[in-house]
Amino acid sequence: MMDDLKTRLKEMLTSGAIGMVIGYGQKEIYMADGSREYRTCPVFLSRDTEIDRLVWNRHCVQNLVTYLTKEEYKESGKIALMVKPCDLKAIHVLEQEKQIDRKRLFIIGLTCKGVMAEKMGIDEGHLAGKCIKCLDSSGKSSAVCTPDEADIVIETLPDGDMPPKGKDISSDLEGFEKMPSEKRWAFWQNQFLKCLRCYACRSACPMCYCEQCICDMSRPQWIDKSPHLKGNFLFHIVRAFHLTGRCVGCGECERVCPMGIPLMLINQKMIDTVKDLYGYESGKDPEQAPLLSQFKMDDDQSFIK
Amino acid sequence: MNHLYKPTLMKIEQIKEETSDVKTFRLVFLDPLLKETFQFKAGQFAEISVFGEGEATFCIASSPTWHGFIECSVKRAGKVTQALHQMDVGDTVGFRGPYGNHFPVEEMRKKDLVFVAGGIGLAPLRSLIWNCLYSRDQFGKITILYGARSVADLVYKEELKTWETRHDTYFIKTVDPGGETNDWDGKIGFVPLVMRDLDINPQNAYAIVCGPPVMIKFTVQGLDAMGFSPEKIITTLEMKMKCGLGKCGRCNIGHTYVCKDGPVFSFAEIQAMPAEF
Amino acid sequence: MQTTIETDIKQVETMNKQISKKAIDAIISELTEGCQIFAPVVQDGIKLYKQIESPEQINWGHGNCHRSLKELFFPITEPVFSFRQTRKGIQIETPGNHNKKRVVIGARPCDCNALSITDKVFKWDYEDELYLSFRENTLIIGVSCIQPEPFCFCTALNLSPFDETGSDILLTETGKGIYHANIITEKGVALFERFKEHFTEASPDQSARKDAMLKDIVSKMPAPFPMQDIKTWLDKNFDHPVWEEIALGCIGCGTCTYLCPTCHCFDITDESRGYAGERLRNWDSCAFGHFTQMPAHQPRPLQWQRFRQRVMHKFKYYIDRFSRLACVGCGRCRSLCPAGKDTVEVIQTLQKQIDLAETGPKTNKKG
Ligand SMILES: Cc1cc2nc3c(=O)[nH]c(=O)nc-3n(C[C@H](O)[C@H](O)[C@H](O)COP(=O)(O)OP(=O)(O)OC[C@H]3O[C@@H](n4cnc5c(N)ncnc54)[C@H](O)[C@@H]3O)c2cc1C
Ligand code: SF4
Ligand code: SF4
Ligand code: SF4
Ligand code: SF4
Ligand code: FES
Repeated sequence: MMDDLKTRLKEMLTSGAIGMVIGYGQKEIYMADGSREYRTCPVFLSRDTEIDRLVWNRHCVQNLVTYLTKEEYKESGKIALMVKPCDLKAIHVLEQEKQIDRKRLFIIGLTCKGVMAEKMGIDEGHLAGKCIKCLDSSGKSSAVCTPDEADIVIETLPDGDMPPKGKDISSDLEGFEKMPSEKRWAFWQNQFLKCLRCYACRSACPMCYCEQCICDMSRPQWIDKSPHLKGNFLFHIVRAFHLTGRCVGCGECERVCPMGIPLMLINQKMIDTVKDLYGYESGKDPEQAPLLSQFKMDDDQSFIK
Repeated sequence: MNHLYKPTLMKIEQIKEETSDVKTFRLVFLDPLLKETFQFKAGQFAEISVFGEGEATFCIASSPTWHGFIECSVKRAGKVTQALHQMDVGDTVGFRGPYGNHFPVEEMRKKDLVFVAGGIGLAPLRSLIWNCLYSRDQFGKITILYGARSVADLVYKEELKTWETRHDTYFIKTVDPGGETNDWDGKIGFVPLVMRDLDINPQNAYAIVCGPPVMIKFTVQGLDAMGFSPEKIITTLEMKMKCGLGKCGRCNIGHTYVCKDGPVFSFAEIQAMPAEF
Repeated sequence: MQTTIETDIKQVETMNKQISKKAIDAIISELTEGCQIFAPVVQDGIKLYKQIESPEQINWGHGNCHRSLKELFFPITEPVFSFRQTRKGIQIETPGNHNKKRVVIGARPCDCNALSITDKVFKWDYEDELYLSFRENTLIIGVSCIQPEPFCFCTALNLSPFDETGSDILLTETGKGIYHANIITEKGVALFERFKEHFTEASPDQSARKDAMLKDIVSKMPAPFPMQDIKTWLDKNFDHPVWEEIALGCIGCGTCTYLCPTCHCFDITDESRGYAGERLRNWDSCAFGHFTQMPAHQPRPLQWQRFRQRVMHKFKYYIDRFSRLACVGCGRCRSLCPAGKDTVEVIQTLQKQIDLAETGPKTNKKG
């Protein structure tokens, strides 16, 4: 199946049907003890001779949808993009928000059985928190890329046995919420004290595409720019608000944070809240209106006090 | 502890509204000693701050030969410049400087000088022009060509009149087509085009050009065609600056730090830089 | 421009001593009296240089802190002064914590060496007292890497896991609980004199052991890259098409620059409430678009141009200005880049370009 895909992509590149493939590839890296390791990372291929670099394995963690809204890739012609079933949700949100032209996109839908958790550049040796709920009893992801959404669906599953499961993000959140409020407050203080305001979380997020982020605005300056505790709290609160009803739970922000701040705790809370209150799941359907642009008479209004 | 980023205080002594978005501020050091002894060279810049709003970079637009105060002309462009525009006479601002290199006044002696400025680009040239006029006899023919988008956008209107009426300067003013008024007595046309018709002899002359990037580009092309060598065409570069001291790392073009090696460069120096400005 | 790259700066004749872990702890306990002590501490799953109260807090494990040593001299955020508008005018107060005596223990050689690099820019004509006063008042006890991290490549840049530059004293664990101590600078000598009784003379045996260890470690690590050749190539190839390709995938997150021990870019910003406030200096990064955004002009609108700036700055511009490479091979950027961008790979790609230029077709150079 991967071979068929590669043949097709080569043809498409040669004929000019697509201008670039954004997918996962492997590269050899140079280690301090003299050994070489293979690392899976995003690759950007515009020559047919490079297509054989594509791989699909449990280390294909990054959500490549992020690249679709970046200036640098807008001139590349039609893009063929490798998309995990969960990443598809991010495409849906971008479609809802009119940020991408589906016609400029060739979606390579992957069939998934979970990817590894990665934090601060290190493979944690177990499944990513978001995957656990997603996998069914056979170990295959319950989310799938269907042929009407993807231009081509790759049925082949990655090789390898099921890795240890690790903790599911919802149970993390549950445990966290059981803590008394002073403890939670202290927890976030400690976490946000570390935040550098490098904004890697923002750069990696497929939903953070604003040309002028409110965090960079100077007139008025809503948010302190300095990475002190107060500024950091403000930033993270604003970040959570702006992603409510939009965050698809891909976990990229937490994965890329160089300070290992568990941002998914916040995101998951917002995801749950939106679901409980409005029955809304972001990215479920490209046709649905964005949460904050719809109003129903029976919407929960208990938060207005 | 005294350190590089600690500004000295200055009081706004006078504010002059030049155009709808440019004001000239006359600033005086609070410290009487500094007020007496402060020196700078034409072309240097300063970091002026509004406490609570931040710092921004401005060239010192007054002449080094004037004493007791400095002047900066500020175009409203963002946070700090807007805050400055809201200040009143008597208010206090912070000052760090003078920073950067300066116009090569010594080398310019005995030479003809051609000043070409557009819009607020006249600010740094104003400092140099008055500097040269102060010892007028040491320079050759002085030509000043100044243009703006419209009559309303001309800065230093009174000084323009002085230059116009002086017999030792040859002054030409122009506005872009459509920017003229009924009583406009200057030329109509873009600066580089107007320059073509001037009587300029590149032999033994320096051309000093300041203004928006497009104007600089075409003016330099014109000067080149007239026979000015790139070493004799002088301009200033503008990159985003924060420290002004060669530390914060944002003003570089290649290995050149505009804040320390510049902002004054000859066109020959600019040609040697990577095209990243 | 042909500039040679300096690799080592030595200060005084190094003394070779020996000290036990116990004695080190004793010295630190005593130092906590009049000094602030900073050391690697693991907390919430990350390792950072933090102020400690007692030697037990120190994490002596292999590997580097997530954030580099630079933050102790050039903090992530630091008020450069506070101001108050009073009836008498504006009152400015500068920070008062810069003259405290400080000791850092357990810093890695690459981080210490990196300070000798950042020293250059902070001393460049204008002396940056904020940074330099911290430098002046801080004594650094480095610890050699006897087990480099997977992503380290200091040797590729002609540095060594036992590099002495930047440390006042360098400890190397040559046996269980036994450290070889190089007393390197005057500050180091002063500390040694004060705690003389804790040190013994290093036996020739021990010194030999140390040398053998180093040889063994270095033999496995990457061999030196031809950085001079790379510099020469960079001198001529600002406009080379390979830049766009090299940078593909970079999301401009700034991680590589924030974690880098030699990156020193900053922003200056004001924060105020009513009549009082602060001017702060905060880390900033050339990876960000707004770093160079001017009202009507942006010299580096695309990410690959910003990526090129970072590489050029490290491997060309800094050498042009200060005769040093602005990289010590600590590996932080390569291990934490969320897009898998790898500084070593960048160097290797450039090396390939050099080989191509020598053998293959000419590239479109700009004069
Ligand atoms: C050597 C030198 C000399 C100068 N001399 C003068 C002078 O004599 N007179 C003069 O008026 N000016 C001069 N300038 C320009 C002046 O420094 C700037 O206009 C000033 O710094 C603007 O500061 P600000 O705080 O008002 O603007 P800011 O609030 O910092 O921003 C200015 C503009 O940039 C845009 N901007 C900011 N951040 C971003 C972002 N992230 N993305 C997109 N857009 C953004 C905003 O839209 C805003 O309009 C000089 C500059 C230099 C380098
Ligand atoms: S990535 Fe982490 S350190 Fe960087 S701004 Fe986001 S939360 Fe802060
Ligand atoms: S906020 Fe984090 S989890 Fe949510 S979409 Fe953005 S990167 Fe993914
Ligand atoms: S860490 Fe990687 S993605 Fe982030 S700015 Fe650096 S090179 Fe780009
Ligand atoms: S560029 Fe990378 S390897 Fe080099 S010093 Fe900086 S973080 Fe370390
Ligand atoms: S303005 Fe800071 S380095 Fe030039």
